[in-house]
Amino acid sequence: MFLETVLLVFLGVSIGILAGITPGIHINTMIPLLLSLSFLFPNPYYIAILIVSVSCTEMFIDYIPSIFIGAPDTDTALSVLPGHRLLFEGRGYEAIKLTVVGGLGALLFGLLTIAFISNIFSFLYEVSRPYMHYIIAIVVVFMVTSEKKSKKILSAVLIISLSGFFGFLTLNSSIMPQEDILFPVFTGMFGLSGLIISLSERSSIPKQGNDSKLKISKKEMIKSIVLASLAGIMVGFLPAVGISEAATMVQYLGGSGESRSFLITVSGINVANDAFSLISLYLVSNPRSGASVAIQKILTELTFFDTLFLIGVILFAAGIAAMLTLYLGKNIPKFLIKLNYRYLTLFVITFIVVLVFLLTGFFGLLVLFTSTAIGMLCVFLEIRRSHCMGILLIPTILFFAELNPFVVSALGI
Amino acid sequence: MKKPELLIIVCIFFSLVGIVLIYIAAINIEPTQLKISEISFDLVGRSVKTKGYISYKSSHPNGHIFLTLSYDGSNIQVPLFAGYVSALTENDFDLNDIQKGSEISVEGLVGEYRGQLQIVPRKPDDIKLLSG
Repeated sequence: MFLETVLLVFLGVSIGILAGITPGIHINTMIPLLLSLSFLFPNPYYIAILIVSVSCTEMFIDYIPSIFIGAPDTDTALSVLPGHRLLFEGRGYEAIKLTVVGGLGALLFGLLTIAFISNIFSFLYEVSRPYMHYIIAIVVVFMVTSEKKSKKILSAVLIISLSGFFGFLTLNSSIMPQEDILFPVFTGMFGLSGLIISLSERSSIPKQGNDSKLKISKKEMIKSIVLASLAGIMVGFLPAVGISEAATMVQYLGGSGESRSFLITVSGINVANDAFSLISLYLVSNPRSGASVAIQKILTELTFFDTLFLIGVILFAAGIAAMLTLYLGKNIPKFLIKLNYRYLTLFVITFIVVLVFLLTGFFGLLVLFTSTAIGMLCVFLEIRRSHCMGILLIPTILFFAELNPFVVSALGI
Repeated sequence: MKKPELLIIVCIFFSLVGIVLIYIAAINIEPTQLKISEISFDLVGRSVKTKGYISYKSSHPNGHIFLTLSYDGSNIQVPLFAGYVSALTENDFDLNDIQKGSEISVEGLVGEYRGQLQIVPRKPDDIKLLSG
């Protein structure tokens, strides 16, 4: 089993690199494909190892297209501006390095934290469930008021309402399978919207310098990692609360708004949440990510030793993925700089639209079109695009408030 | 009109047009009428309508009711979550009608939970009693 595990991790890391480097491809896009390969593997643990490795690798590699091409997916969306700020200073590689530091640091610190809180997690989970809609509503209020200026607060309310209604409609109707809906939604809101805007603004990737030293104090780095670990666990605990909301809250509460600490935080939350969603599956039988849903389908009941084994796989894959991210982050820009940015962006836009159509059909394109308009609206209103997460937050509040049947009835869908 | 304001109006217009088109599609999609034996994993996320006899019923302390619907030797799970149960009672649906042996028709989204297929009804009139 050891040799097979090592080989499967390498295979998973290779697939994760290809998927991560391709703009618009998310682990949730890859999972149906990976599951369809199950028949090739005689042991269900093999496909579980593959999925965990691909998922973990993508968490690291995803930052390369999001920083250098500007085509993020939902989990990296909030990092685009800080990442681009460093890119314009010729420090794109430092931005990549910071995401690797954040990812690895939060993975280790997050696992240690989880080991201490795992005993009370099930209790907290059960106790909080009847009040979950209030907790998520508080997160929404926090998100809106963190915009501070009244005009921006009103704009945030508009975006959350618009995306919330759009989310309720798409998630509760049968226009397309629910598991397919989030792909065009997030690709439009966080990917295509930014690409279309950057098409009219930029013509080349700035020349990158050779200095890769991290310009952040050790104290700030450790603080960002610790906060990211805790926020990663919080994201795993609260349904519909995403990486972007958690990062905004952590930055606000931690009193840090600097690009470098922000990149460490976002990446750290992403990776810590990936590991925690697997542990959440073991602790409360509730999968909190696309990868853990797939693991639940494959292994049905996750035992303590299964969990330990898969955490080992995550750590192994994370180590390899981190090294490869640093290597690719240093070398890919040398190649990208030679390309015409406008043509590259146009190619990526075309690729994403074709991919959405092939995977989700006509209704997928309609959802992509609508979510792109909402994502662009955020940019023109000069508010954070994370308000688009109303698409999950509002339907989740209604679900936990047990209002879904009434709203579905009222809408007649 | 300044350029950003025009772009904001254009984006709001396109967002609303998209939402309206999706809404029109959503209210016009009719569920596929199928026998329980015809419901497969390929239909996960799709809206279907089926009928059968209640072969198993259990009530959860949190207010959920879990049914197994059977017809011609095939079974499917029908979870009625607490919010949905409240909606049923508020619509004057007598929960005592949902008994083992009752024949009901169910409309809802096909889902998968722990390797088993289920139909999740969404609105109160998605469940109809055919015979008690």
